[in-house]
Amino acid sequence: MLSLIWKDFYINRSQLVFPAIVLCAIALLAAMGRSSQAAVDYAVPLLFTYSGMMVPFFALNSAMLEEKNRTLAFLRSLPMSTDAIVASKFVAPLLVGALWVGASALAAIIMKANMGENPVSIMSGMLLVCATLPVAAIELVVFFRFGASAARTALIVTVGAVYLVPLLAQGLVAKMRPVVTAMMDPQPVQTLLFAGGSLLLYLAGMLIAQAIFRRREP
Amino acid sequence: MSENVLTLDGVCKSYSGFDLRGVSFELPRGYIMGFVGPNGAGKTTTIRLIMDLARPDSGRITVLGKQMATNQIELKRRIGYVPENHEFYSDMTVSWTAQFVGRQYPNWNEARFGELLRRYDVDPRKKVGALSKGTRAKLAMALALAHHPELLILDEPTSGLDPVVRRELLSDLLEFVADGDRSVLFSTHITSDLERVADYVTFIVNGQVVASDEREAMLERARASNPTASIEDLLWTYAKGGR
Repeated sequence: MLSLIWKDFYINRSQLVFPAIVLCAIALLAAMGRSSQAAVDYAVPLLFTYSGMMVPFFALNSAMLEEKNRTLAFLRSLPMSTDAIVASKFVAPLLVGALWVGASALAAIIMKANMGENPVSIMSGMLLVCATLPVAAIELVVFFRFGASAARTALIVTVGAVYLVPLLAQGLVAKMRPVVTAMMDPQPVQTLLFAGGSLLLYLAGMLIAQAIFRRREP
Repeated sequence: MSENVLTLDGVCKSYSGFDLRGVSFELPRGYIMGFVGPNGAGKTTTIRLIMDLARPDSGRITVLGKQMATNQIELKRRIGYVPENHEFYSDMTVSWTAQFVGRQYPNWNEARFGELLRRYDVDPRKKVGALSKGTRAKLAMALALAHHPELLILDEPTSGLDPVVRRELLSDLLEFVADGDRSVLFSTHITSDLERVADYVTFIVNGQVVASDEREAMLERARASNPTASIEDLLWTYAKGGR
């Protein structure tokens, strides 16, 4: 399976370049002592935005490349299990998310060291990445059942629902405020519990996708 | 009598608008079998069933003495497979593709792959998407041969190739089985290829195997009534419902 994960990283490498450049630029500016409040005001939202995009868009791009190249049949003809093929599609984006959290944490530490205060909550970044795991899981299950176009639609619908549901539930807004506040600067225990729950949902999605792919004929 | 490396026994598969019915034939070790039929006869479907890319509705498929469904990883390591459509990652180079494929086979021989690329005149630095159809076919053949398989399964391997490359490829098949231990099943509708290399021929028409025997025995029987009978004549006869 390692070769499959490496393959997914390699064919999607262009997707990782720009976020990596952004992180390096932020870390470099902070290390050179050139960070300012204005830079932090731009860097922090950018980090959060990418945190919400990395996992689901990496998964979607990986799925779309397989469909564009029609390589799922090629992979099935090789001596590898169908479960490993599916698992790699889940593990690679998860690793990307983990790497992003680690790299963002490093950038945040550098920024804190040079600015004297913590401009970015490492835990909130990790929380945001974990929140996207169920979204990516839905998208990948839909990919293995219906194809990449349907997966793209599923991503759009799921992300839209995540934004729309709180707006529609107006009466719950006041009750959501403590939750939102906690998300902006979560405690480690809250983050770990949330991460555990997201990972369980992600794993469940992977098992469902494996069952679907075993039955599907290329 | 050599053992059979491939046995299909009463294999059936239904799709909307097409049925594979009771497909049965055997490929003895050390021989080349041509699997021939008109377009849409069920050749690719049968090969996909053999390679566990589709599941039969009924029947048994035994490859190298084992059931493919329950031993697919082990068996695929011993099989070289060239599908009808050669789909690879188009933005990746030939050498990257070979590295990825090579990692899946314990018997992968990098030197052998390089030798095959040189013989087939395939540039390893080129991106797969930039290769012509014929060159992709040669790449697929090199990938299938480089891990020293015991059984080669080829789906229309000479389709789209120029006559020079076709002859080279067919010579490679003869060389492949020369040691008597390795076997080839290749599907085709180009009957002249069968005349050159096939020891056994299986005819499939409308999802049913209509004949499967040694090529020479088939031709001898056919030439009893038509002295110039060829494999193409036999295919024509079977396709028109004759026996």
